[in-house]
Amino acid sequence: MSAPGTVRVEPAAVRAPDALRVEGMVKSFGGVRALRGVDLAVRPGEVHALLGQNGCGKSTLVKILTGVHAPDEGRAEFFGEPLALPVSDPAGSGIAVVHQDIGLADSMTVLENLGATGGYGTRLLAPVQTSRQRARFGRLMDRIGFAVPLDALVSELAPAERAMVGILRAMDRLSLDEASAGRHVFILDEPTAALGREDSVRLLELMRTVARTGAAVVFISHRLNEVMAACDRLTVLRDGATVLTAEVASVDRHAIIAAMLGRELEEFFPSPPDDDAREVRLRLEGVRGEVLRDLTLTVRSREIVGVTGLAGMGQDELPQMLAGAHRVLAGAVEVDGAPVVFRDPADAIRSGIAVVPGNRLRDGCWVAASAQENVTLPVIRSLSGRLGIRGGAERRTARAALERSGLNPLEPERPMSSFSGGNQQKVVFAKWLQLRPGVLVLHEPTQGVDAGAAKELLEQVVQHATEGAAVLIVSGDHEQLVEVCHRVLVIGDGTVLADIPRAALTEQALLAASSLPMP
Amino acid sequence: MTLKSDTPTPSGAPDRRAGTRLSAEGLIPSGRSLFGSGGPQRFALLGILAIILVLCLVFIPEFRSWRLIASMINSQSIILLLALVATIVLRTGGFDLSISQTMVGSAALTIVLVKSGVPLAAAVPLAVLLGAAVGALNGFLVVKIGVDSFVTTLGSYSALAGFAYLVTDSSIVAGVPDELVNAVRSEVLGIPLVTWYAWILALLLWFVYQRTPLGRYMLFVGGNPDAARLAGIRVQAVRFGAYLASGILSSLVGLIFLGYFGAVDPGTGGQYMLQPLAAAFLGTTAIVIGRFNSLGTVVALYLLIVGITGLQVLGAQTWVTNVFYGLALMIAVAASKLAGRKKALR
Repeated sequence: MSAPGTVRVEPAAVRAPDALRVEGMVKSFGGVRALRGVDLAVRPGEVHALLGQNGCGKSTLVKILTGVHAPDEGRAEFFGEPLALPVSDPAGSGIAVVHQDIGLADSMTVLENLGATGGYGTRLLAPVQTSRQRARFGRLMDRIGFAVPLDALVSELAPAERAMVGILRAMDRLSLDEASAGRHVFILDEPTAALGREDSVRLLELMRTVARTGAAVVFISHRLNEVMAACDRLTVLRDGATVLTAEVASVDRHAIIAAMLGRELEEFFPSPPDDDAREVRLRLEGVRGEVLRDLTLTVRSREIVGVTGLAGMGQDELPQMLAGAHRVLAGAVEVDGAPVVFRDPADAIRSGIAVVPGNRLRDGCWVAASAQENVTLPVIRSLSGRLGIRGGAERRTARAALERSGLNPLEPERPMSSFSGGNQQKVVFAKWLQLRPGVLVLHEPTQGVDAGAAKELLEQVVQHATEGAAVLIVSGDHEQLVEVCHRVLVIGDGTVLADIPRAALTEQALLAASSLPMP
Repeated sequence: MTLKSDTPTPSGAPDRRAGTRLSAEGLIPSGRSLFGSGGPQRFALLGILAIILVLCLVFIPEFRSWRLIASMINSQSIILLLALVATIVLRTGGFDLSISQTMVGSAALTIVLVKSGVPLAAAVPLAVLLGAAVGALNGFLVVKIGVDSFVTTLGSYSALAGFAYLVTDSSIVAGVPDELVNAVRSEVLGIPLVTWYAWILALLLWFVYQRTPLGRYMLFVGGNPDAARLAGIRVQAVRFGAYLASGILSSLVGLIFLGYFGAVDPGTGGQYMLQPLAAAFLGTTAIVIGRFNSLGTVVALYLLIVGITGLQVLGAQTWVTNVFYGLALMIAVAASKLAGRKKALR
């Protein structure tokens, strides 16, 4: 239960009526019960974590509170007054959601983005009243004590600042006047999922600042560390019902994970690398890219090596390079002693490197195709005969690969878009692991994946390493790196700052090494 | 595990970028690969075709004639051929608007060469070469330079229209050699060869699209080029090849066009621009839903023809064709958008 000390946890405000109270919420879709009885009580001035595996009902609950769905049963209260369900006027209800994908126009300024939804003015063709907007958003930012340059282009903002713009916009949409000051509930849906570590910390601070105004913040996240660091209380949903509500200070992470999964979870650590005699499978020598300046590393057979660093230090370029998608400007890459020249990703695959990309939806799969088609894409030629693709062979191959990666439900014909994030990632894992790569590179392998699925995915990684592969995990998730890696390389300024062995591997050590002053 | 609904997360929604581009991937709601899967809605369009046909047969006496039906089908075989050719580039996520003018340009070039004394056997390869050159230029500009495919092929469409006027000296040129006419109009089993060519192309493309790795690659290149590339597919080669094949096949359709009509009117290309696209897009709502496919295109085109012929027999003017095809294109695209939206919800 060690929380990084960067975010201060304050006690919840005095006992007033709950900011948001949900009782006995039930909702079915067709024959499927998405919610079987959810209770949730969020106090004013607190940051309340809403946790649970994908499919547990979090998103359904959020959609009910924002008027997307009408509940079958259940009631809700907002600051002591009954909330009419279904919610007919989400903006007027005082509940605002900031989605993970904030939906900002990159090529426009912050002010233009805020105006686009906050309303430029009353008439469509009336001149935009910039000064008035500027004053309005200035007051809002003063109120929560966070500043973002209104004239900056959104593309120039740091991720935390983007989130800030999202929150500002949500506040503005709730027409924050003095009378209703603080009577708001903000639901932040995985706001940190795509953020690096320091941006996450800033965002968590921002959440606390917003809560300090008397509003309630509901924080949806898969990252338990952040929950422990920044939240006052938490509620865990499982299979559409509330299974745990507690003060964060009074529970430990194992209890939380057990509540999410409905079972105890055994810890696993990879067996330590036994000797140095094992052959080197991946060697990088003085590799230079757009950001990487001079990267030298080796990964041996059966070794799991983590790579991390502050955002923008070049570590994110590494998977792209090893996938053959980014040019290696200088230096050498060797797999099993043979030099690899990357002209395109096919070269990487041929040399025995498989990369599970960080952006699943952009690089990992095509959502409109079935799981089966996505899995067999790299091997489809070997499944074809003179009469074209052999249907039976394709089905068997896909099924075997998906079964191994734990797709649940095991329905390979379903389109990718109908699967949860965790299942999608299992499909992507299946696609690459079936190649039995000698070098497996994973980029943020469990991003947007619930705790249970993440565990299953990491078990596969460990298993694959045990079978002789060299594994490289590039991730900003220090908790995860500490859990599975034999050693972790910390990248800074385009080169390796530190190589931390298993014995010294803690989250604090990684954080300290990441923040070394630049040479 | 318990029976738990697998609720899609926001990240499970279809790729949002696709919707911002006017191209094939934005229209694709979901996908099923082979005949064996997918819902009954795959055959809905076929059912509508059957119902319209039966209604026409019952209520319009003129319809009860084999000659009308045969001429209805045969007269549209050129459009069917072009619609099938159109699916090639559409499937890889682009547009080829130039196919109709490539057809007319190749036909014009062939007839002018023949008229000036070049033997047919020498004129045909030159016409095909023209198609290959157009396809290669389109492919180069779109794939290598990165020009939007809509703009590129609209440009080559216009240039080729001018080319047809240039070589024909802005006049209708007749006098097609008999062997070419026979190769298109001779009948086998009572059906002219032009129709057989269209059906054969449909089956060929069906095999390529549904049964070969290339067809699968084209699909992924059109759907998510980034993921396709990382899976080792040579995305640029697939896309370039699609434009090249589209150009070559269009010029072959030009030769069929020449044999079918026995003359070339250089201004005719415009009439063939929209109809093939409408059929190809409407075809994504049948047989393999959400994907450009050849049999769906066949069903869609026949649906459009039967509908239009029925209206014309009932007394509608010729302009009804334009209205019908235009509306069909919009409805087809709207229908696939709606299907995609339904998938994204919940």
